[in-house]
Amino acid sequence: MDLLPTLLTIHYWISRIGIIVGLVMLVLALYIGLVRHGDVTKWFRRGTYAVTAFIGIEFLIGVTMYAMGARPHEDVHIIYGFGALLSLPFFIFVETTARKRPAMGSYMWAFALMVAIFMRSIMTGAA
Amino acid sequence: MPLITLPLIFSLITTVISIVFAVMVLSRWRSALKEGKQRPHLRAWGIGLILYAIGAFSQVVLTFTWSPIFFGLWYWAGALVVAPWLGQGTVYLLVRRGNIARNIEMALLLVSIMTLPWTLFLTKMDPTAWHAGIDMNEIVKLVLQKGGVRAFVPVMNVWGTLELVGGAIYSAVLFNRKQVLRSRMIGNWLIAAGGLLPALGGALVAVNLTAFNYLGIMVGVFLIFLGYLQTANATDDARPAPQRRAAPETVSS
Repeated sequence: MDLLPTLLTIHYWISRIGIIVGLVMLVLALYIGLVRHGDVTKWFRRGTYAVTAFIGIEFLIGVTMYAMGARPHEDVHIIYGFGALLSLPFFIFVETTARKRPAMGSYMWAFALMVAIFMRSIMTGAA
Repeated sequence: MPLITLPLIFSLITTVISIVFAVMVLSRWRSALKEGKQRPHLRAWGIGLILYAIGAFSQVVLTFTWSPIFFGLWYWAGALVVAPWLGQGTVYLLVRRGNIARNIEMALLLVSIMTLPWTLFLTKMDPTAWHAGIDMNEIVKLVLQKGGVRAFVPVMNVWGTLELVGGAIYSAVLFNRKQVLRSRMIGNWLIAAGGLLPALGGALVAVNLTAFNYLGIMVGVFLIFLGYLQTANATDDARPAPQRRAAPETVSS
């Protein structure tokens, strides 16, 4: 099995699924935060950590493909990759250190930005 | 073309003022932190002033020699991120609800981190228009291609100017209406004027009137400095106002 096409396929699918998951998380965050006026639940936070881990895997696959000589359609795809990787941790930091509760707003920002960066990433990554 | 030009002189003065100002603000932030007090607005202003200094210093370097790194730094610091970072300090003072200010800072941090390597390493620059002594504003459109990182400039500047100037005017009007803390009110008007001048200079660059830009930047940082000193050294000169409600901490408390 050739490694590069396999990695490319996984990279492709994680990005597409990532957008859907990001949108679902955004809707959940809006519902919990704005409709129920609730705080971040244990399961929501765990879900966010899981999404962050998947973005980490996506990033590592991208780095591996780059090291193997593959290049994105536009160089700026690398910047969006970094942005996607950083989008959730910054807001997780704000939420987990927040003195003012509820702090669901952080995840509304986080997932909205994450989805936007993913979309730009896909637009600049594929030929 | 003579190397000692007005943009060079203005940029040198701006560099010195912003470095002194940044050191003052960040020392104040550190001392407050040691006392266990959070003063995130001072941190945001400190970062903004360092960026102000980087932008002005890069213009000084670029007067003498071409350097893509310094051109990138000049553009990134001066045109992209300085205004929203200065404005972020004001956001911290005025937006006390929930964690909104902290979240905005994270979004700003994310955009700043993303645009730095983009500007420095992934933006194609054409230095053929550059020569010693040239004002960078005159050649920026020739050096940088349209699109790419340039697309962020209007968004970031509108974002920053609205925060800084709008916030300062809002505080000043509030203090004026409540007839309290007169020196802080004056300070806030100075900050608003100082924030408006570079924005005005930037707008004039867009219509090819580049001469006022560096003067605007220099006078702008000077006015913000004066405004900061005015508000920071304000004694409690409030007139007796028994029904006075708690006012926001104000710009540069």
